[in-house]
Amino acid sequence: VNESSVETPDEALLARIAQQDRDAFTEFYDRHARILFSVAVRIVNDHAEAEEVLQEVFVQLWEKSQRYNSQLGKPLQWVLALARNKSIDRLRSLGRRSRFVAGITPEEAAAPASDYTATEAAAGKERAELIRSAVQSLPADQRQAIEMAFLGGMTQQDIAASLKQPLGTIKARIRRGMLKLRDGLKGRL
Amino acid sequence: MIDERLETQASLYALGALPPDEIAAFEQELQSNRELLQLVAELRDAADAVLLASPTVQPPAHLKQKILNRLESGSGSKIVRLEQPARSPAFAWLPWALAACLALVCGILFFQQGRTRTANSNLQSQIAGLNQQISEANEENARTRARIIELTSQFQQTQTLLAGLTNRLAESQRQLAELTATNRSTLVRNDELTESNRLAIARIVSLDSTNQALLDRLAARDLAELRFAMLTSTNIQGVVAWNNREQKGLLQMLRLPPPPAGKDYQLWIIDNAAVSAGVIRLDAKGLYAFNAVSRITTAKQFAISLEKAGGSETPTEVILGSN
Repeated sequence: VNESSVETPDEALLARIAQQDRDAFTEFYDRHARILFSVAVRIVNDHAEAEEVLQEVFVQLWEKSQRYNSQLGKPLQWVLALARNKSIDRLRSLGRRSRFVAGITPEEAAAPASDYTATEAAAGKERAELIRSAVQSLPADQRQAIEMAFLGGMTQQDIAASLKQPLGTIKARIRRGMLKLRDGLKGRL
Repeated sequence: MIDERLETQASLYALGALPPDEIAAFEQELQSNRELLQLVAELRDAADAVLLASPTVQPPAHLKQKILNRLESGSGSKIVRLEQPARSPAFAWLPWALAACLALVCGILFFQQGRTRTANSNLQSQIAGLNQQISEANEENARTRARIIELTSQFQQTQTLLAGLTNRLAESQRQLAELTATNRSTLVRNDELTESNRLAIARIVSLDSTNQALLDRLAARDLAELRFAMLTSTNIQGVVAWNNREQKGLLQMLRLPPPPAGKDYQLWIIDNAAVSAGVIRLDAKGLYAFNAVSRITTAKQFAISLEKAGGSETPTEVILGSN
């Protein structure tokens, strides 16, 4: 807690990175590399490819951090989006099928994603627990549709075809799941 | 107010899964809808939670240094795998050349495919147009056939009507011929009647002359004792002259038909009562001279009646009277 209270805000680090400050870059890497790598591994499902993704994310951070717009979200949200987008691009360029295409089984949905989530590294244990419980409280079919869209980079039509469900059903699952997740997290992040 | 459609779009937008053709319209809606903007921000937090809930995987320790080295070397976004074997500079151009050739071939094929698709599309459009024209022509043909059938039926009806009119015309002509013949007969009859009338007028003139002569004769004898009266009906005419002093009279009749069988015409002199002047027996000149059966004081009127043969004592059926 004491460390977090004195640490430099992400916004300030990004401003220094935009000035090619290597110390700020290193500090930002140490703070967020684990969560970003975890996201990449989860999406591309390959450690070597996840390393490539992480390289691309931080190189872009170094070269284009001036593009960050605080009005569009927090720095962590920006780099999380970068990691997610580059992971999906990587997956597509490799021509690999997303691990989420097959979907998750009800057992996987019911089980905790991990005892120790990436959130703890980024947000602390208590908030990590809140986030994990909110995500895991989603009905399996809603969580599945959300993960196939968000982590698998699939279109609604692809999801509908993969799950053999009407398009309207997929839209409804995504909408309900996102609203439920929003309600479960409201004011906690 | 955010409806389900906007909620769905916001959810997909936050997940980066909104279809590209819907993004522009949605972002335009975002600019003017603060409630929607707030929803999208909250849904983005929710999406981040999905990422943050990922199982933690520690990146390899050497990765940080590798990235720092790349930044040092200024290689930027050019990612280099350390494990990849270095290629000979002499053939370094080869992959690029192959890639360029491949790109060129792909470009040509893409171009050809595009042209083929365009041509195919044009042909399909033409075929669709021709099919449409054929369909329209078939419909027009069906309409024409129906019109021909209708006209044929009308023609047959017209022929039937014409035949009927022809028959009626022939009948009318025949009736006209008969009427013409009748008219001709009527004209002949009319001529005959005209001639008969002319003869009758001449007879009347002659009768008048006779009357005049008679009157002259009577006047010469005793005009003061003479009583003249005219007996007329539709077709019958008569004149009576009565000499009261001599108690004698003379009757002349024109067109008095013969009496029915068993009947006689009887002349009456009306004084105070009807006094018989006898059964009328006209001579060849149509004259009848008569006397009264009893003394006449004043001959006020004269009358002719139809009586049984031989006459009656009192008049039964008066057919003609004087004024």
